[in-house]
Parts: sequence; structure tokens; C-alpha cells
Amino acid sequence: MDNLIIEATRYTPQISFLADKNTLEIRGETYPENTAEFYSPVFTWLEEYLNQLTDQTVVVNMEIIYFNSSSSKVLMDLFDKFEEAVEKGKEISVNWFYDKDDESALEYGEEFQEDLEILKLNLIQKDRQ
Amino acid sequence: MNIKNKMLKSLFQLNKDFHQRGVFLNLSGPLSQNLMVEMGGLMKRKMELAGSDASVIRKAFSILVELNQNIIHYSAEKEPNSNQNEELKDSGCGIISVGCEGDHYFLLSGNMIDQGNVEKLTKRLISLQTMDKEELKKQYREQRKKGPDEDSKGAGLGLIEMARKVNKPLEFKINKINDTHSFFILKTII
Repeated sequence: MDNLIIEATRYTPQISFLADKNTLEIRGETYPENTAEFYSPVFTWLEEYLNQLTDQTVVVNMEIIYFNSSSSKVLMDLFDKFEEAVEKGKEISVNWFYDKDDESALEYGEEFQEDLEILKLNLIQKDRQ
Repeated sequence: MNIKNKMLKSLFQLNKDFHQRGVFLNLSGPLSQNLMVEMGGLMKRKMELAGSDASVIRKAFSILVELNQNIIHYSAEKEPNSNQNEELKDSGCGIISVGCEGDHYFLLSGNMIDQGNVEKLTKRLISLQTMDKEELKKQYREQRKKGPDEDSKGAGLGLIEMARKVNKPLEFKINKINDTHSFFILKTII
């Protein structure tokens, strides 16, 4: 299937969902004016992608500098989708990168983790570039 | 004094009032995401120049985003003809002020709300005011899992998000304007 690439804007992140490499990346800041509208194609793509997946290992990299409250809900929904897929036996590894200079960033990752049952988030500290 | 001079005088007075209250940044009228981002950039630079911690600046920016989205989504005062312009489409009118009070920053927002929403909003804010950090965290996670109420245009998390970021409980005031509308003021202190 086709890759999904959405370039970053001032308030939406870079989305690189590469079906050919089984690598899904979200990087940047997320506070869209209309969150549901922005993420709708992302979820549509993801659903199709997860359905056609067989035994490949998927790596998800999330490096989100800032997310607003409605994006927080979207991220939770994304993790829920990954968790569902893992329950169905898919191999998905999720990396949550956080900035060491932002004391809240690790906490955000931990809070998502607390609300997931089987999906494990790898919380990885990243030095600021 | 003629009308022109009165207007000049009252704008001078208004500006002076803002200064006296420590307000250093104001945005008033139809709000948009782009305007808010510009305001946020200016606010960040001002706070950096004042030597504020990066964590304080991040909190202030995050609150600015939530206040702006609340006004855009929920203000009962809409920009007339806004549907004819992409940037102002769905925009709401209101005011956001950023200021400094002692060693704290504050962000204020004001906008019209429908009379029918007053009771629900009041209950919600009073309940958030009484919660400690752990209870707010629990509320936030529950609401995030559950998803928004039907009348919400976002995730229904904005107020809790702000309550978690502030140093003192959220302050608010709702003034009845007429039978159909009230003016809602929210104050966040960081």
C-alpha cells in the first residue's frame, strides 16, 4: 500500500507512515485548529495498514515536542489502535522520545503507559539537537 | 470635550489600566489559530528576555493554546461573515491577556457564552477548583479514555489541562449580560 506523508506545519507534526519499511513516525508539535479533521486521514490509513499486516515487525517512533489537549486524546486513540493490533498478535514496538530538558515530557509518556494494558511504550531520552 | 477626544482619552485610560494591572500582551476580537501562534511567539520571547524558566514558558504557551481554542470553539459571539474567509471560518470573538503579577505570570480570557451553558460550566470549574494534583490527573486520564461529551468540539480536556498547569486553582467569573448571554472570564496563574 502507499506510504502516508504529511509535511509539518507550524502547528501540525510531520507524519511519515512508511508501509514499505513498516516504520511509522510522528515528529514535531501538534495543536491543529481542527484536530479531528487533521488526524482523520491518519486513522483511515492506519486502519488499512494494520489490517493488511501479517508477521512483519512495526516500529513506531513518536517524538512530540508539544501536544495540546485535543491532540492528547488523539495520541491515546492511536495507542489504543496499536494495542488492539498487538492483542491480535501483531508485532508493534512503540518508541516515545522525550526531551531531557523538559521535565514534563517523560511524565506524559508515563501517563500514556499507565492507560495501556499490554502495549509497552519504550520511553527514550533524547538530547536536544 | 468632543467625541473624538473622549475616545482618545478612553483608549489612553484603557492602555494605562492594562499597564497598571501588569498586562503586557492583549489580543481582542475575532481570534484565529494564526493570530494565537504569533501572539504565542511574542509571549515566549518576552518571557525569555525576562529570564523565565523554560518550563514556565512552556506552561504559558500551552495555556494560551487552550484558551484560544476555547474561545474559537465556544464563544457565543461569532465574527459576522466569518464563513467567507478561510482564516476566520468558525472563529469566535473574545479577549486574551497575558500579564505579570508579583513573581507570577497570568493569562486571562474573556468571551460571551450562552446562558444555557452557565450552570454546567460553573459546576465544572468549581469541581476542578477543589481537586488536588492527583485528582486532576485521574480526571484527565478518565476523560481522555472516555472521549468527549456530545456538546464538546475537542476532547473535553482543555479545562483540566489548564487546571493541571496552573500554580493556583483556576479563577473565574461569569457576569450575566442579558437573558440569553453571559460574559465568562477565566484567570490562570502560573
